[in-house]
Amino acid sequence: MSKYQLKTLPNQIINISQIYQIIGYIDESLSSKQKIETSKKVGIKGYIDQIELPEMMQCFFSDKISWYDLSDLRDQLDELVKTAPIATITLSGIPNTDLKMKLTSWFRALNPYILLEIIVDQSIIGGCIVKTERRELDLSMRSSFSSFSGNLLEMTHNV
Amino acid sequence: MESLHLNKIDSQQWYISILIILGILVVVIIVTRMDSKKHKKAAGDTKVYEIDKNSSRLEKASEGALEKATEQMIRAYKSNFEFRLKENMNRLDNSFNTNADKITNEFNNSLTNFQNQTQEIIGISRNKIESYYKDMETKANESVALRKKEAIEAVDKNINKILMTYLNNSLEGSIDLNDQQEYILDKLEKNKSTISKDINNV
Repeated sequence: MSKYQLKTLPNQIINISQIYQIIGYIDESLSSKQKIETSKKVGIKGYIDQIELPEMMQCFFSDKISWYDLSDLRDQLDELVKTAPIATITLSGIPNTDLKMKLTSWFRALNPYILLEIIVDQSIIGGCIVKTERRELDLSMRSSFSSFSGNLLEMTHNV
Repeated sequence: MESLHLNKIDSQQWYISILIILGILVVVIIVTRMDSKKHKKAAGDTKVYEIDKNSSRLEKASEGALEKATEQMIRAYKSNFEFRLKENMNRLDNSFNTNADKITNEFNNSLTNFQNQTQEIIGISRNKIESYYKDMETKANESVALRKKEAIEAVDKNINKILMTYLNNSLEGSIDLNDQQEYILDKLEKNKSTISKDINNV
């Protein structure tokens, strides 16, 4: 039986807290499975059709999953939490789902396991600020206006 | 000056001559009177009257001669004086004519010097005025530069705050985040390479 391989994080999974939620759910499910096995002496190869997956988990599996898959996913997610790059994106307002998905999709195209943290700061006026471990890339309108005011200052200096 | 000096000498000589002649006449009169006294004593009283008469006539003649001589001398002196005066005047005229060019040149030179000095003074005054204006201009420029610097510093200090406050007040809530999707994604796309390197630790 092939091992479940997480090729990319689904776009519905954006931040690390969601990963922790999933890990928690999987742990809970695996614990339930042990109880079932103990009580009904069911083989460990059984499918978990009888277990209804939460919405956020459904995106991981296109087909029926086994307990092994769930266990593998848990291990990979556990590893992902430790190694996945995290980018913090600052926006001027609360994004809707569409924008979140588009942003996630765009970043996942660069790195399939990247996790995003979206925060809101109205003072940036518009655009966004992308902060990674390496640097902070200010693509906000505030930055543009600052450049504009810088140019304005330069102009006043030359008067 | 020389001619005037000569005139002075000539007039002195004339006075001396007149005095000599007058002296001679006085001597003649005295001698004549002494002779008359001698004749009176010698010839006696009879001839006294005649002698006195002759003596009186001689005396009158002497006085007439003296007057005449004096008049002649005065006339001669006057004539001589007028001649000398005329001669001196002519000499002065000649001297003046001779020196006229020299005087004119000296006058012209003096005038030129005066003009030069005047121009020099005017030049100095102009330089002083220009220097004064230059100083004033420098001070004015320094003052303007200082004010400009202060204004720029004030703008430097507050422009960001002012602009951001103004923009925040004017734009807050008016730019819907969903309307920014294209803008945000476009910005990200333009910096794709940089972001990719950062998140993949390349």
